[in-house]
Amino acid sequence: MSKNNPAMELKTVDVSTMDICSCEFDPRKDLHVYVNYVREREVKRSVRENAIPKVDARRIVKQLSDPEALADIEENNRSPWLDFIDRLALDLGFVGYDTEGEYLGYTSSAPSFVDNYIDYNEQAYQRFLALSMQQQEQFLFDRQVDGYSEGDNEFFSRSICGRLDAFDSWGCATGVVPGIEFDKVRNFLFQCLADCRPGVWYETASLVAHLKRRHPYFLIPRSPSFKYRGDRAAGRYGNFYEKEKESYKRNIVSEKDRDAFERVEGRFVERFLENIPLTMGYVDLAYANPDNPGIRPSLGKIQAFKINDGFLPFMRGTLREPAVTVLPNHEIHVESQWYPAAMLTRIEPFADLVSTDRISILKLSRAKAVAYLAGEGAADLAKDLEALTGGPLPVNIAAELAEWAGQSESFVLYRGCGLVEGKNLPAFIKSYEVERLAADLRLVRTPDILFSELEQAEQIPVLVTHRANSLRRPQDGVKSIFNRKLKQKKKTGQKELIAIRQQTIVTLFFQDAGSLAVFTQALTENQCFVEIDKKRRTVAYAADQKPHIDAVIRQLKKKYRINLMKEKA
Amino acid sequence: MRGTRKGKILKETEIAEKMCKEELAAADVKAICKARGFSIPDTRSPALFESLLLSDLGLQSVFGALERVEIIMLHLLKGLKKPVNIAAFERMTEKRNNWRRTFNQQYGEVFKQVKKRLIRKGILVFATAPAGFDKKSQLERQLFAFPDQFHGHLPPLFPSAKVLHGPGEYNDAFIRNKLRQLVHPQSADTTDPSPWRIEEGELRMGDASFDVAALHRWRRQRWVASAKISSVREGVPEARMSPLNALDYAFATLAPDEWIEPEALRPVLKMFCPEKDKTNPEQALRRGWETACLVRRRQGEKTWYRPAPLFRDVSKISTFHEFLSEDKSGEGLRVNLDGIPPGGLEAIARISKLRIGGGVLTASPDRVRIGRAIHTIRDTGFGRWLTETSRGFSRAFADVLQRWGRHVVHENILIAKVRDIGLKIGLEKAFKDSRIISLPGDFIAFPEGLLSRVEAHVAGNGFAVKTIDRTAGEIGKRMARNE
Repeated sequence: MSKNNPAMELKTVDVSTMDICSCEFDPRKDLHVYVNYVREREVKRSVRENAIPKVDARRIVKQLSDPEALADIEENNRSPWLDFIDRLALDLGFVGYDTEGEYLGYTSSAPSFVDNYIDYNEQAYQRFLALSMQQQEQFLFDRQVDGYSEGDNEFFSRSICGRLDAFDSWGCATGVVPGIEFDKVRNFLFQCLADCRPGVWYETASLVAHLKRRHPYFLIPRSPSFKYRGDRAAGRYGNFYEKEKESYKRNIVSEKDRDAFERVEGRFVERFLENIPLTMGYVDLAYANPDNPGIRPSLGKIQAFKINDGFLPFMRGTLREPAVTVLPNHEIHVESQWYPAAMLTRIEPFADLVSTDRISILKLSRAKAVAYLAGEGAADLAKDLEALTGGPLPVNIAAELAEWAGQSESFVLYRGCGLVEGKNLPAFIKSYEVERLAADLRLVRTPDILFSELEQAEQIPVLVTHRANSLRRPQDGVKSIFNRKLKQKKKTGQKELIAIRQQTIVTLFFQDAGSLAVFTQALTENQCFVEIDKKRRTVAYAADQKPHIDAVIRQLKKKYRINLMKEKA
Repeated sequence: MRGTRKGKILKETEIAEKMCKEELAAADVKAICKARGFSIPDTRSPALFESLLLSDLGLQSVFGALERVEIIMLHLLKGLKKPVNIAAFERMTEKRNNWRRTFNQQYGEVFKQVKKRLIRKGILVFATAPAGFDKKSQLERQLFAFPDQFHGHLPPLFPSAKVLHGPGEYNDAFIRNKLRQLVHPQSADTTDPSPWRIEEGELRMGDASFDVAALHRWRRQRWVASAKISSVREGVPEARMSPLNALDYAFATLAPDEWIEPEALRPVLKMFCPEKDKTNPEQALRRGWETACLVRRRQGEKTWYRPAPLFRDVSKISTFHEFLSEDKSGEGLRVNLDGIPPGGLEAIARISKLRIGGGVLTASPDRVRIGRAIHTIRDTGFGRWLTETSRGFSRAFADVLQRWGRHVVHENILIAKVRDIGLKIGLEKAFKDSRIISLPGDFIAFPEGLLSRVEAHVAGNGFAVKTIDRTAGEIGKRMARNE
């Protein structure tokens, strides 16, 4: 054990015998996976549970970082991790949907959510992507720190990634809880964590002890405000009950107890650590091993915590932008502390994503790059990449990008244009001209307006309006390249063809429904499928099925007398 | 969205098929066979029975024995060109029981009569449409149709139509008066929906360019307005026509020399237009003659009517000198509105700039309009007469012929520049049959409908389509110009 910095005297601890827990999920990446899915598809939430439909949920969780999510969907129809990401996207304003619903009838016991589509908020999402990494992280951080309610906070809700149980929420809308400003408390504790050294395991109990000594009222004020006057009698800890594991008896924590701070504020600190800090990957936690049965909610189970690398730069406002490197083997490496969503959005139009991690790997794609370069308003790709990397590109990559830029110009389509043909065209044609194909052939804009102008100039132009699926040949006598290129249809001397297909159908008429049923049964058993009309009591089949039907009749003859009368033609 | 599913609407061809398969009982088939003279063994297969039913076998004798009211009913079905429900036959049978509450109770007897008088005679088909959410009874869902195959055999609507040779009396003054209003606009009726206008030399009637079709529409509008025969009044049964449509249908059944009296129309209008406010046939036909929509013949106190012939086309006119003469300058033509047939006015207006001066309508050659019509007018009698008679038109025709076809504008076409020679050859091979043609300077042209396939071909060969769109900018510019 050793002393920490002077501001906080926390004990370090050896965690080799403890159960280490770090968040296995990547909420930042999963958030973008979810938003991209909702952007591309129309997702309508279920009417009763207001949940994402199972079909969509399956597709989304396959891309999420929680490996258990698909099994959760299959077993319970919902995944807690997907619900967390779904709610986070809503809180951040990237998506929108109804969360209140409406009671559809007098006897409704729960609201219904009719036609509750998830709307993608393009503006909010793009605004987020345009922010720097530090600003993006701050945005995520602030939304989560500010989000709480009387029943939804560290005391009464379980963490998505954690293991600890919660206090019983009974009565949480009364007493001291409504007066606690959880956002300020969380910010205060984050500032405490920011004083720690990264990579060092600190004892949780020493943090609680430090808070008890120096900041005993960091959570509940010295003179707490009570929502209802009657709650004053219950005191500052009136909301918090302990239970024996196998008992229904509830013990109220008394202010007079010597360990009251550890039992309330201490529990809060543990649960704080495994909420936002653990979920967002700011800390790793060490749990007591094995589980210690006894009083619930558990106390002292998180024995130690460790600050991770990215947390301190973020808290100091010095989070670095992703570093981009282009390699000669066409790979683009994006190194970032956390998921570089904005950078990947910029690079993916011309590269394929290979893997994402602390270093995300993409590979330049010729097809994508050519399409990107051919797109409207596409800038110089080489310059764009150089701006991202902050240095020159490998020589072979620069050469290939130049070649691809040339290929993007291989097929240039002109829309909204027409052609004008003719020698000695009037001078005003110039204002319509887009390209000069030959001395007597020009590519022009707004051919309809040009035609009117030529008419008004008494040039007696001919207008050729081409059909949707074929080019029209101008009238004879018109001087046009189209007359030379489009061959006239040869008139054939043959008469018009009438195609006829002949088929012989045999119809068997049955005297009653019973005999038809017997025959139908025999046909089914022999896998002979023919047209059966129960109303008319007929069986009709094509001539080529006759041998099959005859076999069925022969088979039936063993059991029945069959009188098959053939009508004369 | 939750829908309000209604019963499926059956087509006429489906009705006959469904009737033969599902609706008819053995007794019905037997009755039809007896009425139409079919042999019973031929009717065992529904498909064969349907073919027999829709053939002309035995139709003559069945139609010959029909009552007049039944013939008019079948003419109504023929004119409506769509299936009707049983309520339409109330007018024929007069058996609806208005004192009962349900549809079946009211129209049960009507259906029995229809079955006996038309269905079992094999000249009317019916079928029950599938049930919808509206829970209509089977009788309410039944649709009745008079098959197209029988239309040609239906007895005439007017057996008493009189055969009179000759054109009859035509109220030409009504049309002539309208034409004179061109130079004397003060004599025009203020309620006229299509007054004359000359805009930049173009003759217009109301909002449209003048042609004989516009004049024909105008005279019908005047008939409708004066005789009040246009609209279908509300609150009357569905299977009905407006009086104008009923009159059109009735006149269309007449042979070329047949004429009818107003009284003959009375039972037809009663069946076709079952409104309480009945149309007076005498008044309707008299107004039709006054507005030059009908022609009439009178003998004593009796008057017969038939539709007025269509305005003559310019190709059927030869006496151009009677209504067109050279003006003083020799460049244009003076138009005599007292004598010009509407077809002649249309022809001259189509290629001229018109103007009115000193109470005279003058036409001078318009090279733009002549250019548009040169190939249809050059070799006609009118074109030749103009070339021979008018120096101005003759010179204009020559100028236009010399310039025509020298400048060509192509629209509705896509142009692309293909710099890669391999891609260009590949495209030309992939789209043979002249669907893509190559143009000078690496360009190709192809129809707009081929775009998706061309784009797929380009992408499939590892290239991308770079698009230069000139549409959006031009629309913006045009809008700015209009503002």
